[in-house]
Amino acid sequence: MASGNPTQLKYLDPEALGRLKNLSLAARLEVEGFFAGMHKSPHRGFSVEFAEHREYTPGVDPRHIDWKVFGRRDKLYVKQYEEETSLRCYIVLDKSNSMSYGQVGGINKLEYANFLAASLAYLIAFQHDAVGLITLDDEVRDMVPPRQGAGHLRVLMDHLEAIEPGGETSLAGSFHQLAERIKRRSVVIIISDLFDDPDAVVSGLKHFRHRKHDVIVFQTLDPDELSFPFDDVSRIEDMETGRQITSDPRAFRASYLEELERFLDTIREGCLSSRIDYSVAETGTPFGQFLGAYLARRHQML
Amino acid sequence: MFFQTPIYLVGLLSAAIPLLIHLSRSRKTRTLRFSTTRFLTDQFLRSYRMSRLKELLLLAARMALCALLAMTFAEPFLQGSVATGDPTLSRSVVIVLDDSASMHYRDSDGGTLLSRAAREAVEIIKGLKPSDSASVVLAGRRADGPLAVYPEPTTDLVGIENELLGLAELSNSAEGRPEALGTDIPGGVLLAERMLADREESSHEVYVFSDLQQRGLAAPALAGETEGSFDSRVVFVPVQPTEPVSNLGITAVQYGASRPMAGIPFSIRPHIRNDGASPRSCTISLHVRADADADDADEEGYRKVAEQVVNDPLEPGRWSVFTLHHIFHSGGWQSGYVAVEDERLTADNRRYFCFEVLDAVNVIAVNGAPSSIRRNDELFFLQAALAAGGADTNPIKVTSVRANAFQGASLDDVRLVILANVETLPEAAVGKLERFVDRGGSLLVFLGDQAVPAFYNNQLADPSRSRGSLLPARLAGSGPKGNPSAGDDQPPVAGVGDFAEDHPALSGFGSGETGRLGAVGFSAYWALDPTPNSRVVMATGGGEPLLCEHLYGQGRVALFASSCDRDWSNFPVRPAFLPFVYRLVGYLAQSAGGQSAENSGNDTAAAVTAAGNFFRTGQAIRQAVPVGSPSQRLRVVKPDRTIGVFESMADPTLRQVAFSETDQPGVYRFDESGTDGSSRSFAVNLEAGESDLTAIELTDDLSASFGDALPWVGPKRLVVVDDAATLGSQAGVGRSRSELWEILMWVVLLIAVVEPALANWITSRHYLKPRTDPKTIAVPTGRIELGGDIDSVNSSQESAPEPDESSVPVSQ
Repeated sequence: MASGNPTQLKYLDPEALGRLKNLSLAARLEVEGFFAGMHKSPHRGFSVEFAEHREYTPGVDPRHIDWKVFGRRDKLYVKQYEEETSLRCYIVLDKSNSMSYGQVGGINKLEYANFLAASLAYLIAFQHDAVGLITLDDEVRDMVPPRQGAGHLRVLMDHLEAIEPGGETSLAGSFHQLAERIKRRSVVIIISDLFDDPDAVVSGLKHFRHRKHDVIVFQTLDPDELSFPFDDVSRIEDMETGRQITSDPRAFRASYLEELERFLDTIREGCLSSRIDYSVAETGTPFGQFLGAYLARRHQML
Repeated sequence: MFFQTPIYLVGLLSAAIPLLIHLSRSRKTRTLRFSTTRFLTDQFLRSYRMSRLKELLLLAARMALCALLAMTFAEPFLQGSVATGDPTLSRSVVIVLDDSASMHYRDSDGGTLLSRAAREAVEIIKGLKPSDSASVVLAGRRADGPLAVYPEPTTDLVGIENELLGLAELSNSAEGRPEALGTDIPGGVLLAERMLADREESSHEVYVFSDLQQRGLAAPALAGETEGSFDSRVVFVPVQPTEPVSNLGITAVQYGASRPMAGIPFSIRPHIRNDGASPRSCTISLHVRADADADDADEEGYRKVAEQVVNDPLEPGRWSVFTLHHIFHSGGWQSGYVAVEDERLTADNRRYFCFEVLDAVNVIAVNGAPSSIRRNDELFFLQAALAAGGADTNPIKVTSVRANAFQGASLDDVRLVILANVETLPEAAVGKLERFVDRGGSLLVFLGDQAVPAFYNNQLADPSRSRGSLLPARLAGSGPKGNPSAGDDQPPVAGVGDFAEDHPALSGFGSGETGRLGAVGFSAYWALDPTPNSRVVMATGGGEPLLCEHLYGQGRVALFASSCDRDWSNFPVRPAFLPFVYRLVGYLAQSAGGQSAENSGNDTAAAVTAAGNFFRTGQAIRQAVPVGSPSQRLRVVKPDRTIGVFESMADPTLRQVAFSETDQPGVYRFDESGTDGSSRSFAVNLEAGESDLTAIELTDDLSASFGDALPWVGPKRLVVVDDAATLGSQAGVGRSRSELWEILMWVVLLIAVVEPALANWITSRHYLKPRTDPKTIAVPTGRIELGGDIDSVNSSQESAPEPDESSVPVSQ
């Protein structure tokens, strides 16, 4: 990983990026873009790739009348072409305190999320798409509008490096707030542990979908959070709320895992029902491997 | 709570084992900062706190299991004070009556302490319910231990009442009981406690009625009993004279010899002690067994032969020694008693004695200067003096031998050897003399012109010999003092000065009734240098020893500084010579310390005669049965003329017979006749301590007052009822005992059964156990099946999750 080297930014792992460079992040749904690129624009027009026929109405440029169809149907239709546009992508990063948890000697969830965000930003920028960055905890903290170009990528990297964890996770409100602020249809990539009320989180995600955004959720979890392997602690302090619980983890484990499973099920089912692309990014998995696998799946899916 | 075997309480330490395990498994406080606690629900936390409580409950159960098991082994029991009026209380009571001689003291009302004690005890028996049990123990010092009137507590309460009342009546009667015993309170209490130890009744009570004599409770503790062995409540009821005590008693008697000589004055010196509170004058009398047809014999067959009235009052707490003399006129076994007049406590008024009186003794006289002219013979005057009564009736048979023939002479049946002016003796003869005296014979040495100082000093008076100097003095100087060749017609150089008037050989010379020694003059004598342990019985006017005496082994040796003929003194022709010689020879012929069994030749009775024929009441008398001879059933006529028997010991290897029926003071005769028609006897007397009625000092710390005597009775079990009149109310405190070990054992079993179930329940309810098939959580990751759109992906996750999920093992 690069750190302190001006040519290599902290969250751009060359090895990981090298593995990813032949893959492209493709929007599953139509997105609007400023540039005619490889993504289809929802604004149909008269471009290269035929989209559909439309009945002629006066005022439309007669050049687009498809006379072949008129010959068969005896009605006037005009040809419409899909306009290829560039991708607008928002990377939404949860920087709340709970994201700062990580195994001793390992990477914490926020760092992992930063790596993911940086890699995605690089890839998107590499495709000449616009990418922006939003950080939030209990509210939206920082918002970098999507732009194209290497210079913008540099800006994003600076922002990523400047992120400090803090605040509580209150995602639902932030999601609703964000959904309202993003006017144009975009790809919204949410990287968070989603430690909030699961129903409220799902509600927030659905709000994005309601605004026609393509939503990708990477739920970042530490292996400790998935297995609760502690045996030798007697007090647990909540990193966000400061709540302290004195107990025997052995006694907790069953109940914890049960609650966690219920939580994950709620999130997953909510995403499924709203057609949200949901994945759990376990920080124990190298993020390059995780991202490669995800993009491969995504590419195959389209 | 009390414990039967408290040593097992060490096991209580095992209760720490579960605690140590618990603490070792408890983690140190370590705080983990975790991303979220949202999954630790309040409901679960409540459940967890409950689990902690249950864990502590489990720990407590395990500790209790260990502790209770240890306590069960220690056999706990509860005992508390329960009012005896409680109808649910069952009682078992043992009355311990001190029936020692001191309890026969007649109080101012004429009744004895024992009768009062017995009547008070009856009140306790009357307070019992018909279902209660009781027994009576008489705590006099008996050979077989205290006497249990009933071996086990019985419900025959009427019988016990009658027994006690009968005892009171007998004690009060003029004759009283024939026994006069020492005190054995510790033995009585121990016997009572043992009787109660296994009783079913809930209250075990021991009531001790005693005058609490210091001497009686100072008895050495019985070994092997420790505190906690018993659970009875021990109530002492002091029964003491209501007025200041008045008592004279004979606490000891000194006798002149163990085998008196017939015809020789025999001294008897009783020690009279005033144990009362005021000065007392007294009358002492001496009684000897009378002939069967004597008119003046008392009911026991004795007649008074001497009496001494002491008008000088004896101060309280002081004792004085008085001397009585008696001459036994015939040999054989003679008995008698010395008495002091006192009415309150009669048991200590008499001291019985019995002796084998020697009526004829054989004496060997070694003649150092024989002469064919009789009056010049060295032994002429000595033999004439000893034969004054006539040759046939003379009790002293003198055999004269020459010095060179002494070695071959037999000393069997010889009581005394006289060396008269002997020059020297061979070494073998000296050794023979030493052995003779060592075994109880006596030696009388007269010096004279033949005596060689080197022989006497280097052999007979050599302190470096195995048993020390045989003679009581060494010969000082190289020759005799005075004028050895002067004869008796010359003025003497010395006369008799001081002499011991209390000496049996010289008693009577002081008053002149047996002659005067003042007329005796010596023209020559050997200067004597007495050995440290010898006694100068007679000295010259200048204070030089004339007659010295000392004990050698079991015998006695006397050395006279001059001759026994007229060569050096006029003594043989003076009137005092005959009684002097007769008494001196008779005194020496008496046995000094008794005869050893080895030399007596008399098998079974040997121990009685040899070890001293005086015993105390309640003392078992044992005698060895010689190897090879069958055990004899010796019959003994007791003072009340009943017959007792020496029984074989339980252990046949001991080859001993024992006689334990010595409860009565008096003279016990063997039921046989000796050759002279008299029976061998032994005397039994009350132990001296019974005369002193001083009670122990009762303090608040009862264990200090009784601790030495009753070490196994802790202070918690000990009660002293200060006032016998309040016994009725104080006796209403019973001692209840409830065994707990059975209950504890049930509790232990219950805990042992419940503990595993409790442990399993807590574990299964509150802890996730390790599983062989780890639980997994469905975690969708990027590794998803290829193909399809997001809908198909998510639906495929839902329908077939396994291939697309990462398995997260849930580990303990």
